[in-house]
Amino acid sequence: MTEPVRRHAYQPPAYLVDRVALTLELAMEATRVRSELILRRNPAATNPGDAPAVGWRGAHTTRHLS
Amino acid sequence: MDGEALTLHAIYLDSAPLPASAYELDERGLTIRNAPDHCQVATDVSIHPSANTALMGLYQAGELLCSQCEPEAFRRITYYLDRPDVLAPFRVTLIGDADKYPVMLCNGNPVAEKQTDDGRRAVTWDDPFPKPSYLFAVVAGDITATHQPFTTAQGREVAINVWTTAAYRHRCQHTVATLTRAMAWDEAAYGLAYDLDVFNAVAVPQYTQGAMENKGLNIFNDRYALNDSATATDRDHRDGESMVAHEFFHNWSGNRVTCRDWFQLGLKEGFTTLREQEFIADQGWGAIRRIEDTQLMRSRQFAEDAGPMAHAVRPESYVEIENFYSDTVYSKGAEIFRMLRRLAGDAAFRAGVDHYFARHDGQAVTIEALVEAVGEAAGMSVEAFMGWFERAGTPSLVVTGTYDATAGVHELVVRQHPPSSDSGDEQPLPLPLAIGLLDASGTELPVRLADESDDDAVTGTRDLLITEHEQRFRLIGLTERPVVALLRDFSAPVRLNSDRTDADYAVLARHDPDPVAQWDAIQTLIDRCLDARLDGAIDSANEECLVAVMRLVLQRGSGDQGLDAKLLALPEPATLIAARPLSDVAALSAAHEGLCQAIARALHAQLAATFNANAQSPVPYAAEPGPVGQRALRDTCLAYLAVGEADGLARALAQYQTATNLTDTISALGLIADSEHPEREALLANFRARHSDNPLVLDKWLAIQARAQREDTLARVKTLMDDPFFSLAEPNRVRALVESFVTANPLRFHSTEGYRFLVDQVLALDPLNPALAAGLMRHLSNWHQHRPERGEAMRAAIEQVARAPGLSAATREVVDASLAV
Repeated sequence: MTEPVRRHAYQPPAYLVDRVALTLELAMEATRVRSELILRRNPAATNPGDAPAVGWRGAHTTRHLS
Repeated sequence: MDGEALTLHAIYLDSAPLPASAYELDERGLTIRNAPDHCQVATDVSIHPSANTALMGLYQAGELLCSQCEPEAFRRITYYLDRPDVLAPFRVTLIGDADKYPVMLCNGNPVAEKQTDDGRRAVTWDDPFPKPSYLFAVVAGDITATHQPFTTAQGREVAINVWTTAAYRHRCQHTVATLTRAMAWDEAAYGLAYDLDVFNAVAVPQYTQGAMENKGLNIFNDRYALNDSATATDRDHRDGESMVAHEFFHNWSGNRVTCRDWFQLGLKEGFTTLREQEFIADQGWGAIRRIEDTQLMRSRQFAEDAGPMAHAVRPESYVEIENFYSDTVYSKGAEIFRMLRRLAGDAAFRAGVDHYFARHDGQAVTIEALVEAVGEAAGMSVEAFMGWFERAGTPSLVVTGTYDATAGVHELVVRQHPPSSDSGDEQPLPLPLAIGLLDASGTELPVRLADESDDDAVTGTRDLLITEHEQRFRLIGLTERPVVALLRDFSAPVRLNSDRTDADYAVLARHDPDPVAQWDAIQTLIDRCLDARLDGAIDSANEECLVAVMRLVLQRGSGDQGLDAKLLALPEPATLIAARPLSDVAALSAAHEGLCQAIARALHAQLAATFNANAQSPVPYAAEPGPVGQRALRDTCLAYLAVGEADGLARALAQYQTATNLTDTISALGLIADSEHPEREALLANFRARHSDNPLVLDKWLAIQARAQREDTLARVKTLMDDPFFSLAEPNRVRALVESFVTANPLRFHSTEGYRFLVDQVLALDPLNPALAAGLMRHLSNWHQHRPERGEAMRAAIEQVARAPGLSAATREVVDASLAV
C-alpha cells in the first residue's frame, strides 16, 4: 500500500518559482508543452544547505524521504 | 519537480542542455542535482489528451480540450513544483489550429494574439496574480460565449463570458445572471471585488467533479452551468446557482489566499461553502437551504463520521487526497466556520475576515490564519475551538430539563460527549447551542438566565455557550414549564438527545418560529410513527398529531411555500435506511409507504385543494423562490395524492401532458415511472424520444428509472447500460444511472444482486476514472453498521473488489479502510 502523506511532515518547498512561462501547442493526440521557470532557493526551506536534496517533489516529500 | 505521464524531449538549466547525468527521472518526477540557488529551468514535454480517461490534467471532452488540475494534476501537463504553497505569476501562450480551436482560454487576461508562421493561431494570456499550479486551466475548442459587462465597486470594467458549444448557447442566461449577482454580493457582503478584466466560465460535458475555480477561468460540469426551463428543473437551477456562486467566491477564499498544503483543504472549501450558503440565503432560499444543509449533515456527514472513512476536517494523514473532497471537508467545514461566526458575532466575524484577506493576500496559509484573525477581532480565544478541525467524529449533546414551579425556574443540564482525537484528547469542543422557549400554546417566552434582570431577557433565539462536559443553565421567570426549542438553525453540527416529550414535539412542530427547529420536530414525529410501524404497530397518538400538524401547514402556510413543502415531505428512503441500518429494507419501505398512505387518506381534501390551487405553473417560467416554492408544494401534494387516491396518477398524467417546464414534467414522470400505470412505458419512451438530443435531460430519464422502487429496476438499469446513450466514460451518465440506483434506491440496491452490480461497475470504472470508482465504492463502506446478514454480503462485495489486481490508489484506500473496521 502507498505510504500515507502526513500533515506534521510538512516541509516548505526547497525552491520558489518567481515566474512561469508556458507554451502549449494544442492537439488531441499529442500536445507539446514548453515551460520556462525562474526558480530561486527558498530561504524558508528547512535544510537549505542540503545541496543534492533538491527533492522538488511537492506534497509527496515524505514519500521520497522514506 | 513533480511530473507524471509526461514524455520528456529536452531539459535546459540556465539555457544550457542538461546532460542526463545531471538529473534523475522516474515515473513520479524529475530531480536536478546541484541546482544553483537562482536558475532558469526549461522543459519540453508531450502529453496525450485523447488517451486521458481519468479526466485529470489536460483531456479531451468531446471536441474540446479541457483541463482539471486540482489537486495534483498540473504535474500531468508539465514538470513543476506541484504543491499549493508554490505561487507564481503565469504567462501562457496557446497555439492551435484556427478551425479546431477558434477559442483558446487560459487564466488571467488575454494580452496578445497572432498568426504563427505555419498558419496557426497563438493567444497569450497573462495572469498577474501569483497562484498555485492547481488553479491553472486551459479550455480550447469551438465554443461561443454569452457576454455580460460588469462594473466593480472600484470601477473596473469586467467582461463576464459564459462559454458553451453553440447549440447550448441559449441555456447560459441563468449562469450569467448568477455570476452578476455573485460579483455584486461579494462586494456588498465581504467588500471583495473581482480583480481581472475578464471572467470566463465554461460548461464542459465530460467532467468528473462539479466545478473548478481556476483563476479567471472557472470550469463547470455542464449540468450546473446550463439551465433553462425546458432542460433543467427548479432544483437544477438552484444547484447551478450554488455551484456557480461557490466557484466565483473562491476567487478570494482559495485563490487570492490559498492553502499551504492539502490538509488545509477545509480552509478554502469550508469557508467558501459557508459563503455560498450565505449568498443563497440572501437570494430568498434561507429556510429551505438551511433545512437541506441540516439534512445533508445528518444523513451523509454524520454517516461518514461513523464509518471507516471518518476523518477530521483537517486530517492527520491521507493516501489519496482525492478521497478527502468529502462531506466532512465541505459541509462540516462550513458548519465549523458558521459556528465561528455565531460565536464571534457577525460584525467581529466580518472584521476578522477583512484582516485575514488583508494580511494574507497572495499567500498560502493554514486554517489557523482565518480562525485566529476572527478570534482576534472578537477578542476571544480560539485554542479550544481549533479542536473542531482536528477531530473526526460527531459530538453528541444530551439535554435534560427540570421545572421548579415554586421558583419559576427551568434548569437545563447540557452534557457534551465529544469525539476523542487521535492523541486521546477528549476535551469538550466549544459550541453555540441556540435555544428558544415556548408556552403550551406556542407563544415565545423571554429567555432569562439566573442573575439576569428583566432587561436582559431575550424573546426569541438565544445562544448558550457550551464549553464544558456538563453545564447547568437556570432559566428564570417562568410561570409554567416551558417547551424548549433546542439547536435552532442547527447551530452546531452535533447529535442531540433530550428528554423532551411527545407533547413538546407537538408544540414545536406546530409553532416553533425557527424553520429548522419546526422541521426537526416534525421529523421526530415522523421517526416515531415509522419506528412503531416497523414494530408492526401504529402509534396513533403521534400519527394523529403528525396529521394535525400537516393539516395546519396546508391550511395556514408559513408564507414560504417552499418551506411548507419541506415541512410536509417524508424523508427519502436513503435517509431512512441511513438512520436505521439494522432494519429490514423491505419492512422499512413498507412502513414508509404505509405512513404515506395514512397521511394521504387523512388529508385528502386539503392535499387536493392545495394541489388544485397551485396546479398551474406561472408563465413565463422563473427559477425564483415564489414560483419554485409553489411547484414544490404542488408536487409534494401530488406525491401523496398519487398513493392516496384510486386514480391519483391521473393528475400526474395530466401534469405531464400540459407541462410548460421540465420541473412539472419530471415530477409527474417520476411518479408514473414508479407505478404500474398502463401509460408508464409509453411515457418513458415519449420522453426518451423528445429529448434524444439532450444528454442532461436524458440523465433525468436514467435517474428516474434507477430510483423506481419496482422489482424489475435492477434489470432495467442493466438494460439501460446498453442504451447507446449510456457510457461509463461519461461521469454524468454514471452518476445518473449507477449512482442514483446505489444511493437513492436502497430497497433494490441492498441485495446480493445489487452489490454484485456495484462491484462490476466499480471494477469497470476504476481503470477509466479512479475518483468516480472510489466514490461509488464508499457506498459499501458502512457495512459494519448494517444488520449482520446484509453487512456480511456488503463486506463480501468489498472483498471481491479488494482481490482485483491493479486497483487505483483511490479505490484501494477506500477498500482497505472499509475492510479494516
